Amino acid sequence: MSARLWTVSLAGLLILVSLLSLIIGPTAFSIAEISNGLLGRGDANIQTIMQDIRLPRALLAAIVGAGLGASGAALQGFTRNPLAAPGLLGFSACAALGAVLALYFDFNALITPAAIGLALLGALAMTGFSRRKPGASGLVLAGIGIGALATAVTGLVMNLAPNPWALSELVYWLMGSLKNADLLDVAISGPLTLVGLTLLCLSGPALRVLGLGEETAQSLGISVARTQALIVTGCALCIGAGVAVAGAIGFVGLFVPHILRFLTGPDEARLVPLSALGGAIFLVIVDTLIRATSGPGTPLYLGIVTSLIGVPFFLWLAWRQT
Amino acid sequence: MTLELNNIRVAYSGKTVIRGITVKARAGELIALVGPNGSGKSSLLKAVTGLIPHEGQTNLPPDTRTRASSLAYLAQDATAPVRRKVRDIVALGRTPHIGPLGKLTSNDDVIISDSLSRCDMSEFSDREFGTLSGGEQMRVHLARTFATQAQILLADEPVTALDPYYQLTVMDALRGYAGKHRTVITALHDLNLARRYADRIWVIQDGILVKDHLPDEALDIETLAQVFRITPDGQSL
Repeated sequence: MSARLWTVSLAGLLILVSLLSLIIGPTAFSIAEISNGLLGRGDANIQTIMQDIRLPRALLAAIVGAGLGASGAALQGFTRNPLAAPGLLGFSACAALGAVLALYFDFNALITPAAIGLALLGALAMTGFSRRKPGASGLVLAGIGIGALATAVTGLVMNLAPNPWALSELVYWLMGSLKNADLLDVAISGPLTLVGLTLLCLSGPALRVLGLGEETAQSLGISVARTQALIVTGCALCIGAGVAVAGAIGFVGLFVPHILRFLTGPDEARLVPLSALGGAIFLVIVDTLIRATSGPGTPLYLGIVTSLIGVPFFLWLAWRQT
Repeated sequence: MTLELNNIRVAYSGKTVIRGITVKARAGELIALVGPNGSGKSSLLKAVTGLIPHEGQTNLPPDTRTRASSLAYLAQDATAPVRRKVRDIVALGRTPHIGPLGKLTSNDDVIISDSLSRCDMSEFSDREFGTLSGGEQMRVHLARTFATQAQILLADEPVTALDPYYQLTVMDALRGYAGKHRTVITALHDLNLARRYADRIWVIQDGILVKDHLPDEALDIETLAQVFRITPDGQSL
């Protein structure tokens, strides 16, 4: 199957699962009720469910999943490391630290700019640390180090939480969820993720050449520093925007590119947009299942479910590498 | 195109490894760059390619992309993704000539097919790189450097890990690429191959170019003894 056919098929599948996510829920509605609810007509309760819950959750799941999938593909392509992912290279940890700091100091309105700001600051620090020799090894070492620092400071903030309620708020937030999603979140994270995805896709042709090794790529006119700058900025925007609205969602950026590489072939340039579609499809399906199966009590958290699916895959990958 | 190097100097962490090399390579020449391990062969080739910081001048274009279209480089540890098709890897040699989106034209396709053919790899076009032997993989890399159609080709020990048959086929391909109008400079350890294929031999020792001569003059008894510590019949001294 050609790359174009894969792209069209995955885009079609994304539209299909997104429509299904509008239909599926704890309360069953007819198609007419759903379309009326989305258009602001008919029963007020149905309008609220469609416009304030199902539509924003479906859109945000697609946006966040696309950012995670494309970031993972670009990082794996740039580092030529199958274990590279936004969670392992510190992007998620930096964005989460920003959001946790905003929550801790009770500036809930600043969660989004704080998450994106810290993700960009982390990207800047990674670029600074690997400035002398931009490339895979420098970015991996800097990313792991900065991610570990961000995780440690997040732990410190939780340690200093003034009371158990504040701590539980931080813990629940870090588990990752779209339960509080609204259309404002979509309006904020959508454009930022789009800019990030554009930067990641622009790095695609260079990623293809980097598969030959950094020296050969440089001899063919590829700038490793420019490609790294495109990727870290793109990842910071995608992951920062995603973490700001959904919390920490792990492992999607790791296993989605691997599955698509297995299915579609090893062309790293095509893998970035394909992984964006794959990540979006996966997260829309998982969030729809969580929403549809949630009953009374504490709901399942999206980040927990993606980790439960992703960790066995990660261990299998690590086992294969050794 | 004539390649001119003027007082090229390279230093790593304060240690000078290339000590002011000035030399010319003319169009149509295949030059063998020989010298003991650690003499600076790879550093010189990387410096000319622009991969490592250096002092001194070359007559190559300063702009990275323009330079990439006039000089092709085959690394000693050349690699490629194991699942990529041979033709796709060779196509990457066209990178300096194509736009930012990586779209190939019909002219690029012709050049890629010609490069595969020059290296006897046409029948492997749709094979995955990882399924090839070491010698076949080296010929894929060679075809990829040919596809750049650069006037100057630098190859860093392209035959070191190959059996005698593949050594000869790779050297034949390099000889054919040089033709009458291009310049090929290849680092070699095998002095017999250097004698057999090179138009001239550059002998390098401790970062200094000690010989730039025709093969028999470059590898005379004195040079073999002083630089390589061997006798003309291959005995160690």
